[in-house]
Formats: sequence, C-alpha cells, structure tokens
Amino acid sequence: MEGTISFEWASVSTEATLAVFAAATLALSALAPKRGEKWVSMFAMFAVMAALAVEVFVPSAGASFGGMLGGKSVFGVFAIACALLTSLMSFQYFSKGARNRNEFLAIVMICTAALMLFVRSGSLLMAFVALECATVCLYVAAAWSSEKASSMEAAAKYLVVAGVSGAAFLMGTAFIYGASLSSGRNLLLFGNFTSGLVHPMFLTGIVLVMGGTLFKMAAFPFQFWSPDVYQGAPTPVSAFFAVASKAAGVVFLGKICMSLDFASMGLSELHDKAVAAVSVIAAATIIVGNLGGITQINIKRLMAFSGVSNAGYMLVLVAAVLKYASLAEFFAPVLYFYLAAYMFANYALFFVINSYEGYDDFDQSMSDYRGLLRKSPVMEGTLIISLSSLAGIPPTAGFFGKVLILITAWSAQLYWLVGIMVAGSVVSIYYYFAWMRASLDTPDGVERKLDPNPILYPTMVALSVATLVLGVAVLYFYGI
Amino acid sequence: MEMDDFCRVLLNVAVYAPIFGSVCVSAMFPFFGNRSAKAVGVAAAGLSFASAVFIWAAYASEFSSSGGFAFATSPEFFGVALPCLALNAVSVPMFALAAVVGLAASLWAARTEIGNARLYFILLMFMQGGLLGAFSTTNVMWMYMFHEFALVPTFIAMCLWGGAGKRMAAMQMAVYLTLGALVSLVGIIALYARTNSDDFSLLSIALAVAKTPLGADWQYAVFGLLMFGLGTLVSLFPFYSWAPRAYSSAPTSFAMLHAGVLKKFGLYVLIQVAVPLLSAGCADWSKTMAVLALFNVVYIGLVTMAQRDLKMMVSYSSVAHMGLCFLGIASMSVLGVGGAILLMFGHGASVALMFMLSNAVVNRTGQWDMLKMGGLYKRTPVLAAFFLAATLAGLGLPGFANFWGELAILVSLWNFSPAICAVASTGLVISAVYGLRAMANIFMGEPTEGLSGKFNLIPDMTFGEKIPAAILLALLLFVGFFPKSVTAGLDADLSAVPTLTQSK
Repeated sequence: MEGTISFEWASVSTEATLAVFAAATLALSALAPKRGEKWVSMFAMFAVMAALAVEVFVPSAGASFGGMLGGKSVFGVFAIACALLTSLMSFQYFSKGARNRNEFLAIVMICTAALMLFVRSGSLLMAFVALECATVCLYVAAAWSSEKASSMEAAAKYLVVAGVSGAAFLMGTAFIYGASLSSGRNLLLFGNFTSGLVHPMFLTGIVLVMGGTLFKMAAFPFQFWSPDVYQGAPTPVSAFFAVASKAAGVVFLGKICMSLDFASMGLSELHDKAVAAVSVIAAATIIVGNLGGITQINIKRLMAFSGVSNAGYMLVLVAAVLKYASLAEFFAPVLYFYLAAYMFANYALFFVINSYEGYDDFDQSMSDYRGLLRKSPVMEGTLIISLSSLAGIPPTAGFFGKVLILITAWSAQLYWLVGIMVAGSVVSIYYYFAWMRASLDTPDGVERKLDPNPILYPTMVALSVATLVLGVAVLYFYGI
Repeated sequence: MEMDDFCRVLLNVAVYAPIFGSVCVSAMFPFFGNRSAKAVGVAAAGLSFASAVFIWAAYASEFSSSGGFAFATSPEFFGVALPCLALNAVSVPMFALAAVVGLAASLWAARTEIGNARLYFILLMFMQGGLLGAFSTTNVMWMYMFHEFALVPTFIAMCLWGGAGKRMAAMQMAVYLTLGALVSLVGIIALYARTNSDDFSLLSIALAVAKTPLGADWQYAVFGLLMFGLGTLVSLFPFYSWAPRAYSSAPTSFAMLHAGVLKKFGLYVLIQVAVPLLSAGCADWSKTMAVLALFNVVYIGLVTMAQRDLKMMVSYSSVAHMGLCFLGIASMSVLGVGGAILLMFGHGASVALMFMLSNAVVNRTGQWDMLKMGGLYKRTPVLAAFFLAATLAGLGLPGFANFWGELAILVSLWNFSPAICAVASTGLVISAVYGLRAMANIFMGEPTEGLSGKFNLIPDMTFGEKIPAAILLALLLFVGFFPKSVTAGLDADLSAVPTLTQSK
C-alpha cells in the first residue's frame, strides 16, 4: 500500500549495539572458563554503557524504515538507565547464590533493546514484534531462580497473562489491518490512525490494542498479575518490571492517544467517550492500587500495588492530553520527569530490598525492616528519602512529579480526577509511612538478616541524592 | 540603604542556617557525636534567633506605618534561584515567633538526655529551617513546600522518641496533615492555573487577580478548598482529632515547634493569601467558618476540661484556642484579622512554654495524671511560678500577648454578630476553668499518696530549663506590654492586597 522501504541502519544503532553485545556476551560466557565469569560480566556492563553513549551521541534520524520506526526519544536513555541499574542490582543477586549471571545480563540487554523499539515503533506490526520480544525475555528473567517455586509461579502467571494480552494486541492489530483493506490506507501506521476513526472495525481494534498495553503497565482492569509476579520474580527483575516495562506501556499508550485527532474528523461525541473511558480507567487504577496497598505487609507485593497506583497517576496525564490536544506539548516533559522520579525512588527501594539475606525474598515483610536505622544508616536514609518521594512529600522529586500532573489535569478541567488523585495520594501515605515506621521500630531479633554489599552504597546514595536534586531541576527549568 | 542590605543577608542566614546545619551534620554523620550535633543545633538556632530579632526590630522601626513586603531577596545557589524571601507586617511576627520558639526548643533539647541526639538535632534543624522559610517566602508554592519539610522529621521523631500511643498518633498525624496539605495544594494550583500567573509568587498572582477579577462562584469553590485544607492543618473542627494525640505523644521540642509554630501556618496562609485574594469567597464562607470555630472554642474547650492527663489537656487547649483565631478571620475586619495574628503569636509562645513546663512536671512526678500530683509548689516554686504565668497567658490575662489578641477578636466579633461573640466569650471562662484547675491539682494542696515516697527528692527547675522558659515568658510579656511591636504595620497590610514596598 505504501511505497518501497529504505533501510536506514544508523537509526537503530543503539538497539543493534545492545543486540550484538548481548550475543557477544552469550558467546563469551559459553567459551570463557569458570573463573573468567566476572570479566564477562564487566564486559556486559561496559557494553550497556557503550549503548548509552551511542544513544546519546549518535544523532536521531527521525522516521525510518518506511515509517515503521519513529525517531529517538528520551525513553531510550531511560530504558538503558534501567538496564544499568538492573545489572548492578543483579550482581548482588548472583553473589547471594543465583547462577548464570552473564546469560541474565544478555537477556536484560535484549529486553531493553526490544522495549526501545516498542516505544519507537511507528506501526502496530513493529510494535507487536518488539513487544513480544520483550515479553519473552521477561518470561525467562522472571523464572531465573528456577529452583524456587515462587519464581516459577511468577513466570507461569506472567506467561499466561502476557500471552492473553499479546493475543488481544495481535487481535486488535488484525482488526485494524482489516479496516485498512477496506479503507485503502495503511491504518497500522500511527500517522494514519486519525483517518481510521470513522471505521467501527478500527475502533474495536484500537480498544484491543490499548487493552493489551494496559496489561503491560498493570493498569485496571488488568493489574491483578502484578503483585504475584513482582513477589515471585528475582528482585532485579521485579524492579525492571516495575519501572522499564511499565514506563514503556505508559509512553506507548500516550503515543496512541496523541495520534488520535478526533476534532479534525468532527467526532466530538466519540472524543468525549474516549476521554471518559481513559479517565475512568485512571481513576479505577488509582483506587485499586491504593486500596490494595493498605492491606499489604509483604514488601514486594506492596511495591506492586504502589506501581499500580503510579500507573494510575500517569494515566491521569494521558487522559489530560487526550482531552486537550493543546496540552500535548507538556506530555513528554511531565511524563519523563515523573518517570525519572519514579525510577530513582523505585530502584533505590529495590536496592534496599535486595540487600537482605537470601535471593528468594518473596516473603520479605515489613517486620524484617525493624532496626534498620541502627544496622545501616545509609539504607535507612535511602528508604526514607525514596518512600517520601513515592508518597509525594516535598522537596523530593516525586512531589514535583505529582504537582506537574495535577497542574496538567487541572488545566484539562478534569477536576474529579484531581480529587481522586489527591485521595489516592492520601491513602498511599498509610502504606508508605507504615514501611517507614517499621524501619524505625526497635528490632526483636527475629528479622531477616541484612547481607549488605557496601560497594552498592554509592549507588543508593546517588539515587537518593538524585531524588532530592531532581526537584531543583524543575525550579531551574520551569521557574516555580 | 545599608540597613536594608544587611537585613536581606540576615533573612537568608535565619532561614538557611538551620537547613545548612542539618544537611552538614547528616552528610558527615560519622564525624559528629551527640554533643557536637547539639552544639551545631543550638548555634544554628541562636543564629536564626539573633537574625530574626534584629529583622523584627528593623521592620518595626522602618515600616511601622506603611507595611508592605520589605527586605525582598532572591538568592542564587550555584545558578539555581532559591525562593524569594520577603517579610510584611503579617509575616514578621510569625517569623520572629518561629525563631524564638526554635531557639527555646533547641536549648531545651540540648539540656535533656536523648538517645541518638545527633539524629534528633538533624531533624529538629531541618524542621526549624522549613518553618522559618514558610513564614518568610513570598512564593505560595514554596510556602507549601517549606511547611511540608516538617512532616517527615516529625513522623520520624515521634516513632523514635515518642510517648504512649506513638505509632497510631504518628500515622494519624501523617495522614491528616497530608490530606490537609494536598487539598490546599489543589486550591493553590487552582489559583495559579486560573489567574494564568507567570509563577507561584504571591505578588504576581495578586497582579493577575487585579487584572482579571475572579468570579464569585469560583472564589467560593477555591476558598472552600483552602479553608478546609488549611483548616485540617490547624485542627479546625471536625478535622482536629489528629492534633491532641500527636502533640501529647511527640517529643517535647517537636511538640513545641508543631503546636506553637507549625500549626499557625494554615491560619497564616489564609490571612496572607486567601483572604486578600478571595475576599468574596471569604465573605460567603464566613458564617460557616464561624460556626465551626465555635465548636472548637466551646466543644473542644469542654473536652479539655474533662482531661486528667496533663499533656492531653495542653494539647486540647491548643486546639480550642485555634477556634478564636478562626473567628478573627471570619469577622472579615482589619481588627479581627489583626487580633488573630496577635493571638497566633501569643498562643504560639504560651503553648510552647506550656508543653515545656508540663514535660518538666511529668519528668519530676513520673505521672501524666494530674489528679495523682499535688503540692508540688513546696518543692518547685520556680516551676510553679512559670507554670502559673503560662496558664495566665493562655487564658488571656492583661499583660500577656494573648490578651490583646482575644480582646481585638471579641470586639470585632461584636460587630460581626453579637450572638457569636457571646458564645465565643464563654471560651475564656472555660479556659480559665481548666487552666486554674490544672494549676491547683498539680501545685497546690498536699502531695498525693503516689507521690509521697519520692516527694522530697523532686528538684526545682535547673538552670538549663529556666533559660528557654525565661526566653518565652519574656517574649509574652514584651508583646503584652508593647503590642505595637507586632501590630504597627498591620493596618496597612490587612486593608490592601499584597504589594512590594521598598524601603523609603
């Protein structure tokens, strides 16, 4: 339907770097002797950093491969940062007894490349292929502690729900392809979405695609898998699920919503319905996430519910830009600011979680944190700063992220959604501060033992400082 | 001119010295012991105190008739603009109060045995810097943020050093304060988004409001958000239940700063931001506000009378007194709002003193229950004298700062509604009842049986305890005899929307 495709390989240089080095890591780890294992790991870390350098310094080419891929966005840097942090965290996971560290690093690299392609994709077909590639990597990563039942359970659950969501996504893509055949335009391309809005089959398809994306980001009504999976998966993988995978879903959903221009097609009634649907999903996600969170004493399940409510806050932003296209220019800055704050806080917390003894931390509970203040002031400080950020207490970055979303939502006149978001944030205080309170309690000797790795302290301190300093960036750029 | 620049520097010193001290001690915590951390804390509080008192005197002498924001300064820190600081007649007294109570709280903590005093002072300094900032910045968003600086430190302090029921009280406080703060944040965002102001600065919002007047319905909605949001922070009825528990289980220095200074923040923002910018909204809400405030005065007053626990009584009495401040705002007159500021000032000092003294009493008797004390006067005449002075200040005896505040509020209420004035004045009787009865139960009569064993070993106030108490009492008496020091510029500032007045 569209013209011939040219191959601009330079535009996928980062993803190619990651993929090639992942293959090299696999080959090296197969060939290298047992005692050379750590050098291969170092090689993999440098490869990820090299990919970061490529992402930053090789200029963006804009749309390429006949519109299958869009230009680079901040997400690339974000995803590679997540990969770096996950790899760092995994060193401790492997030092606690897990096996096959280099294969794990290769999987993380491939998954990162796939998520980057997913977010950049300009066509639903490309998006599906990238999404499936990432999902398969995540199945494997979730099952990494394969001798532990909890890890296998997590992987099996994720396999089933991700299979269903992938099927929904593919079904939607098929419907849209069908609509393309009858309308004579390639509606699989994001740029042509608007012209498909009059087509009922396209609408069915886009709803299915968005549903599949909601699965990825663990938003209502497809959030039920996340507590089980975060709990059972190895902690570095849970962190990757909670940050990179969720972020990819939100960015992708925002991209779909911003490619739908209802006004130019004169479909104001449909527009209102779409805004109402996304708003209701956002509200329900916030409510479910926060109400689920208050009953949790298991730390990793708590993080999952916290992630669900944060997905809800980000969906508020999506609803706002869907309602007023004039707010679209704020979408990327606000979302990436929020995601950066979320990444710093979440990774810092997962680093703390990962510092406890044993790599099967699926049953880590709040009471294990008693006496942390005495045992490790650095970890206690990290915990307090990161929890304050997630709870939205100034002067941490999380507060500014929430304020920016509230301002956007208020400007979009979504007042009731602002109310839900405020109520959700108040409820979330209960579980974030309960965790903080547990860490300040006096120890009673039966807690899980700490197994801290002081080499990772600088990372925790850096993440905490970033949480505190990122807020200043808002003052600098936006002049509040 | 030179004086002005000097005051600008002092203003920054007062706000950032405690924050800097806190950051330094926490970043280099292995190098600080408990004693050196105490020294840093007292030094920072002393620096803030000296600067604030000097600024207060300078403002009172230069701007006593004109009012307006003075000493405006927007410092830069490595290229990042820090919030603009400036003071007007409304904020000068609150700023001075924060500094004085901060010094008293630090001195008190320095002379007390505390486990992990280093962390205690890190948190205390951070909170104090936030308080000074909240009352001195002209940026509404920063007011909010500086206020929130106190939340996490108080929570941590309550969890670590709190008294009975601390776990529940700490959580309740965190949830209520966040609720109030976020609701008022939405109000602030509404003001910002609606006026299309350039930034969150109070002056630019005021300018934008002057250009495009706000509709009455809109003002009603936003003033409602601010009133209930900020009201929760001030423990306005029916959102008060967090306050008594939190104050009575918080460690003394934090209770002093929280009940004495931080709680005034909600009233301060109402007076500084909401009333001048949303006057129509305020008028619509004034009757409701007055009725809710009467519940604070009368209902909470009666609850206070029923308390046998000394700290609970002091905590409830501070909730009850907030009602009178709200009544001053509800009266919508310069006299009433000015009276509210005076009462906020006087109450801040007197309740901080009261918390300190009741802690001294509890430490000596090992009892919370007032009915199990008695006759302490014989052993502790100095403590009894301070306690009597604080009680009399609290119930509004002439000669103390509180008297002028209550008088001005009741006079302006008479013009607003004689019926409300009549009901509100019963609050004074109620506070006399519980205050004097506490005095009688603790200090008069014969020691009870529970006390008899150790009665002869109870010491009087030590020198280290007398100093902070004397500072607070001196402040109360100074303003009581010389109320002009607080009220001089108020007439001008309360009858106009905020403006920036440079020096003459």
